[in-house]
Amino acid sequence: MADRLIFKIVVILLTIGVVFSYSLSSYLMVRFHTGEFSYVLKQMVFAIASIFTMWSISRLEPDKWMHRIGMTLFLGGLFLMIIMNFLPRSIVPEIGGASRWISIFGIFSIAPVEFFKIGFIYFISWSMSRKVDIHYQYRFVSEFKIFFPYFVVYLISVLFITVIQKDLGQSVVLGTALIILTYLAGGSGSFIFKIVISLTIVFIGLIVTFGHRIERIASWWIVVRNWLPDWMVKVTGETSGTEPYQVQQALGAVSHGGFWGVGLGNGIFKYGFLSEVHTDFVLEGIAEELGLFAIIVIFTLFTILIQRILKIANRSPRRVFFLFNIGIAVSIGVTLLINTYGATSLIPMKGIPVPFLSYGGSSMLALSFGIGMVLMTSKEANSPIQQPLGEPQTYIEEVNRVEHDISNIQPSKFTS
Amino acid sequence: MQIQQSTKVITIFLVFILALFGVFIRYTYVSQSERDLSKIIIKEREKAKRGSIITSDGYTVAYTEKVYTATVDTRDIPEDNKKIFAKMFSIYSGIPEEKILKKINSRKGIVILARKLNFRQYEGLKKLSRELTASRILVGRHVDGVYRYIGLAVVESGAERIYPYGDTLTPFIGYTNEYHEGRYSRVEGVKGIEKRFNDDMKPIHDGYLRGNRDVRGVIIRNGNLEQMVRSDGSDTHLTINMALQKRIELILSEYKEKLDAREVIGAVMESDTGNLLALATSNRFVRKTLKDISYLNVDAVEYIFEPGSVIKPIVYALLLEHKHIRRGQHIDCENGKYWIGRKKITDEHPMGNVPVEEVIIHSSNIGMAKLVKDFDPIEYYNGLKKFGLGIRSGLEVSREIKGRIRSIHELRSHIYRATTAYGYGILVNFMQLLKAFNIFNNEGKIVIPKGVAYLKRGETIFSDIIRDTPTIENSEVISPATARKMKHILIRTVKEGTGRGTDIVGLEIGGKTGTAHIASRGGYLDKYHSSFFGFANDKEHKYTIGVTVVDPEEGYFASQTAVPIFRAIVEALLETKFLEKSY
Repeated sequence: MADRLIFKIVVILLTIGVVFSYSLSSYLMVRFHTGEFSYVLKQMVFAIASIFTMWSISRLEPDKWMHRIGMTLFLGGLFLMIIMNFLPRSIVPEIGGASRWISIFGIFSIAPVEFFKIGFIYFISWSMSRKVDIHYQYRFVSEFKIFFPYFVVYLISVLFITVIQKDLGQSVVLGTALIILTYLAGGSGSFIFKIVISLTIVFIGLIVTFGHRIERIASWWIVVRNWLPDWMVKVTGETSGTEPYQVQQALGAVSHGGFWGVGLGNGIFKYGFLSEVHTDFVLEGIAEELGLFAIIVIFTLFTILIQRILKIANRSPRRVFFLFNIGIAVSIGVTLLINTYGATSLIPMKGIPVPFLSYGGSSMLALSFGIGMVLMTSKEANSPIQQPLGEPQTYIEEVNRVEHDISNIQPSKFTS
Repeated sequence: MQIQQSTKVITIFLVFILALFGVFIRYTYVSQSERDLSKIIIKEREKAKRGSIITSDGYTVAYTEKVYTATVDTRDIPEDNKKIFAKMFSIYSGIPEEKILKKINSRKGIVILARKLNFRQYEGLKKLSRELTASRILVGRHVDGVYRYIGLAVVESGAERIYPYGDTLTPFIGYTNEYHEGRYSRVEGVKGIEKRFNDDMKPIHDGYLRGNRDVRGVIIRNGNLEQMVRSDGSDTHLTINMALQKRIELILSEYKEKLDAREVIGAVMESDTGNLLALATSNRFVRKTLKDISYLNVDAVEYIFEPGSVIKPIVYALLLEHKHIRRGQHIDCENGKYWIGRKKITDEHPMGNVPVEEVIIHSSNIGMAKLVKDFDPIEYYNGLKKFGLGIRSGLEVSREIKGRIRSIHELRSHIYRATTAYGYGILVNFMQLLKAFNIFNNEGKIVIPKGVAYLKRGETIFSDIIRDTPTIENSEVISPATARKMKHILIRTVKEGTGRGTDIVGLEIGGKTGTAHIASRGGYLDKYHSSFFGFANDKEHKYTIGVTVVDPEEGYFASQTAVPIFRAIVEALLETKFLEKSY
């Protein structure tokens, strides 16, 4: 039996998303004469497709299908991300200075990065579960040798996602997932620390290269400054300017909502004040109409969802499923965190959708693949009897390890 | 190993919870904090208007029109589009293209392109503004990452008073001056009806719509919408009939020129109600081309003069009322020369011993002087007051000069009783005489002359207009019998006396002429006033009519000046069907 609670929570979140794609898009509908139901209909079609996808994937046999689906998403996503750079503008339109979508017959468009994200998590999980033996502690050099290829793969995708598609948020999500998976797969604390430091340097480099990000940080600083004691502000020096417009509007919307909100459909900030209210700022739009209360409910749903996925991960009989489930939980969690921190201007980062809630089919559909796969593995994990970790695989991995890294073996302090 | 893995997973979960809690605190803080939400609320004001002035036959002789100002932010016009912008603006506003081009090239920022645009231009330019935005002839710009666009804006900037019929009904309706209330210009009455009813006509309160707005400033009609309907000032409805008024104005202007007079005043009043059908003067004005400031005055109540012989019927009626004249009495008019003490009185038409009515019919000063010889000063004084002399007539204008009559003390002297009796040494205005003569044509009852019928705000009519006069409406000044007697004498005056030339067959016409020299610094000049006051009735209608010619150069006698004007007015009444020949 697949985990029903996860399925239910996702359906609830998708439903909330559909309801608000109707309410929050009202200004766009009027402004662009798209017809009253155009947004909600698209969102509903995708939501139903997602629920169906989730359900059908969850019924499949994990031994056979996990690898097929995971690798298809990874390779397919990567392929699309590469070839979209060579496709004409009519198919890959530039929206807001970034080419993130592939238009299909001009009816709807998909963002390959969303599918690639799930595929990437599967690929890392699969590969790491084969190559890394958690029972041994590696020396730094050999640890570096094992994990370095993953970071090369990661940096290549960062090149596509951040540099070409200008989507820093997704890279951060993937990076975080990668680091946590490295850690859980057996990477040592000091190695993780060094990786984090070097990745930070890479990101600072990227930020410096792209001027508009500096502006964004400067305007973010103005918000943060208000929270700091005076002496700290003096040390760092004054920066001129006001709160960035979008943040102002987002915070205004939350403030307008209060605890119970102004009522479904009664929001004001959606009328052109808070742009992207139906996508990146969907939580603020919800907060205005249904108040802080709705934020509490949504946060609770996400917390339960992530707790359930982590629980399934922890009970997974195989390391690849364990790592994959962790990766999905991290991906959902970090996406939510980046969005909320960004929207309330706690970090200078924007442009990442809220999982399940934001308007947009790709993110939803890709996540439904991810959740479907989680549900698929949950069938094995839910057994109350703790099964030993997959012995045969550990054995194979051990052979592999002996083959390529025998010199680095040290006595391990393992406990079980 | 299993424990270590669980620990790691739990750690990850705890970190997530902690991080989520952190941002939750932020949401809580923001949602409970007060932020300035005034930007999402908009108040659209709708300025209330000043009431109009409307004649009894429905002509609006004064109304307020909103005027609009057009501005453009020149930074929103790309260099290449300046020419086309100027052309388009010129088409919709009627302002020459070069003028617009000069203005938009004058400086960067918001420039006023046109002021005092009317509603039609406003509608056109508003449409143009939308078109220019849509076609990107005007484009916004980014300032600190925020898109700013003002483009072409057309806003209501004030109100202007319009007098569509030019000088018609001036100076009675008066005029207004403009004053500024912030950036908004309004008008205020300075004289005439405009001033007298300024408080009634001025806008009561502006209307507004207050509610949430979208980012482009459009009001959202949701449950938060507050609405206040604007409340305009009252309309003033006149008793004046435009058709008649216009005709009489033309008659007066024509005679002013013909007689080379300084001014000709004329009025027609409904005898039983006091409603003025026309209140005209030859000296009218259009504000913009005004040359002579005295034209601003409503001389019917602001110009006082010695009435001369037209006062005689009034005094005669008082004598009749107080039984100082007996039926069949004869009076010796001394063949034109009579002395009171050292003062000599003469007549234009010397008469001998004649029936007493002839004193009025042939306008004998001597006869009048003799008749008032024993008239009680208190009865005399009070009688004149009751006729409305020396007190305000009550016409609804901003200013009235009431003149003066001899005091009781002065009237104890025969010479003052005599001079008063033939209209010298006292000062009256035109309206007082009209009001007094009306008594003869209204069964002895006095009515207050009325230029304003009622005020109307929305559907509510306010007809209890306060008129500044001690006169009590419809009170009896003389008995109906005396009135009938007087009426008869005045009819005879027209048929056989000084008023000859006014009689028209089929109508009942009566009246009295009067000529008086203009007094100046104690002496009399070779200038005079010539008047005719009387009435013209058919079987259904009764009208009191007055004419005063100020300082005519041609013709001395009223029969050559005021009388033909009176006749022309009666003919105008016939033309406009106010009178029909029915006798």
